[in-house]
Amino acid sequence: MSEISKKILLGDQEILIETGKIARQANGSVMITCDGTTILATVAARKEAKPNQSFFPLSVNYQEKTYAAGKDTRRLL
Amino acid sequence: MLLAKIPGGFFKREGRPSEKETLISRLIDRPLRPSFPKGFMNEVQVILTVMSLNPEVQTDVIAMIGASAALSISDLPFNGPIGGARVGYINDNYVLNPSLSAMDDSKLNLMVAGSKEAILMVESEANELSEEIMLGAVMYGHEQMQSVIDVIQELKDEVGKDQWPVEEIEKDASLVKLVNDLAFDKITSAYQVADKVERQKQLDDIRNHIDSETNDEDSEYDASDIKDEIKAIEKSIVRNRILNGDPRIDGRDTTTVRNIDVEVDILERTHGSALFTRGETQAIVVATLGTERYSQIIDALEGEYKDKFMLHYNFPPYSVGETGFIGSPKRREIGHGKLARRALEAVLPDMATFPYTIRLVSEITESNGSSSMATVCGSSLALMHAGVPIKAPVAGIAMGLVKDGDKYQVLTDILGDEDHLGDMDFKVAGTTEGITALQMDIKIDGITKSIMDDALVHAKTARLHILDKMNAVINKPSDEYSNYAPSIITITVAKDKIRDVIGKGGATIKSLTEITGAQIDINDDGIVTIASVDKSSGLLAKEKIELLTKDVELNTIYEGRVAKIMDFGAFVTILPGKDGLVHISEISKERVESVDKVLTEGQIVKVKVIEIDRQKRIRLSMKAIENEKEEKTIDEG
Repeated sequence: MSEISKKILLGDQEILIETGKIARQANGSVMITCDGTTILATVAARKEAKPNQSFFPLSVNYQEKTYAAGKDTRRLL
Repeated sequence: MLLAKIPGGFFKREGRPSEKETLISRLIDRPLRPSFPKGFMNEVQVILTVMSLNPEVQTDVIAMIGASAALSISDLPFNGPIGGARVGYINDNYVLNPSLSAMDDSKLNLMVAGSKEAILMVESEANELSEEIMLGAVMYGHEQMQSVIDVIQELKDEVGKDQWPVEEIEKDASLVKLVNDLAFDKITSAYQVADKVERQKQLDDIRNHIDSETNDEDSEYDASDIKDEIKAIEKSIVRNRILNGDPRIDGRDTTTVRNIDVEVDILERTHGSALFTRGETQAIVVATLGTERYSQIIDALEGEYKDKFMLHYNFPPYSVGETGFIGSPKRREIGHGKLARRALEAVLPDMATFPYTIRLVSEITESNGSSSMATVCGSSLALMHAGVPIKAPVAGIAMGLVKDGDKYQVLTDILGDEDHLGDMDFKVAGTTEGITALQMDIKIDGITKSIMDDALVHAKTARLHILDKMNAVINKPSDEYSNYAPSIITITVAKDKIRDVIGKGGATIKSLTEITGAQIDINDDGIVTIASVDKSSGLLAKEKIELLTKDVELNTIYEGRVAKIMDFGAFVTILPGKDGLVHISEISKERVESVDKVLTEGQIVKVKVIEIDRQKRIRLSMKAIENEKEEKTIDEG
């Protein structure tokens, strides 16, 4: 899959969606960026459902990495 | 200036998810879940990793759009794209995706997610806004997010993979017939039983009966298929009854709220307590007041801050007659606690100046639907009982909606059993003036603005009804805090006096603490917080600090203590830490040979301030008082 990007204007904010470069083994992945904030969104799934699965086993894990940003510079001194 | 951080603690790795991470995960899960086809049961994991952060950009909307884009271009059978938007309400105008700092001026914080055709989810906190403004915000957000959906659709058209086929689950017609023949009438009559425990017992009996009828060795039917069919029958029975206008499972009509019982002051030693029972749902809510030291330090990526209001929701297994594991709160418990907190936030006193840290704990002791809204009601009551000056009482109500074609029915105060079979469920909390929190989950297309409007009108009626019941028991905050709550007195001292209170290396404040038994904190603005177990020691500390920070005034007579005798006079302490000099010539009208002949250290004397020089040195006189007395006598004579 080739690299491709799209821009969205939402209110005053410009959002950039890029795909095809990062996390290409996932079933789907995008890097989404807005004014310095960047999130890697990935999705992976099992090819087969477990037998007798009675509910949809979807999990969403939103996680913030501390390397992303911080306020208190003393923390690194 | 922002710099990246390294995690604290021993391991220097990110640990278990923070409350914020859990809440955002849940927020994104909610609109994604109904966007997959029914019957798709493969495990799907969406991971959203914030790798760079501008704290002004709120990540939840971006993460939601990212999740939608990743799913849309994947080979999974996702019925998206979906979009998401945050709506603020600033100066009577809707604002799309405001920055974090702009939110300070907003009366509304509303997240809405939706597909091209339908609104899927709403989560919001508001400052007592009307139904009309809330609904307007939902519609505005849905309209604005269309550009997001269009762009993701374009991306999907260009790079999207072929989607996995989803097998249509064909129901086994003979099984359907068998289960229906065996159970339909029995289930129908079980659903006439109003009591939850009795009804479930009957339903269990029916299930066992069907099992025994079908589950012999060479049965061609799968046990789980039978279970699913029973569920389908239950669902259709309950839905049809609602749509036909028949009484609900527990005998109520669509608009009646279950019986409400309200009590406060149920736990003697707690600072504030309430018991709220609505039908078979019951919450004990306890308020605890603490000093600022007990505020929660939140180590957010955007920067550390203190939180002086906490609301913890617990759902122990006994509340539904089950056994279970007791451990750290589950996602659901964190989500319910947050919703209740949102509902109350608008009526709290200004927490920057309110001296206490507040912790509310809601213990769900019985549950049959809508324990989060019972928590809202119980919390409002417990806060008032504790004497916290909330602006207005808050109540909440859980609503449902069943729709079939053009027919629909709004359900007020839904039961646990009604929760899963509706097409929309929503929770509304607020005061008599307006909405403070609104949460919606919509599972089908075709819920129009007018349907939502109708639903909100019903919710308002119910909310006002509950508020009446609550107000009949307690309608304003108690005048006094509990005797078991710490006494907190706040006074302000001039900034240049802060060091007088603290003293050298903290000596003064330390001794004040020891003498009075009160805990004393002073901040950079000169706000002194005096906390004590009993009020009298707090008052003593207050008095002492006021004396400490009092300015010495010219021409005022003080009662002082002789601190030190010198050749040329005596130093007299007139206020704590404030000494002045009585020169030998100012001791008496008569000539004083030697200071130690007239004064001794420790002696209490009356002195008048006759001069304060530029260096703040104080000159005192005893003679001046003698003179005044004489003049007075002469006048009187």
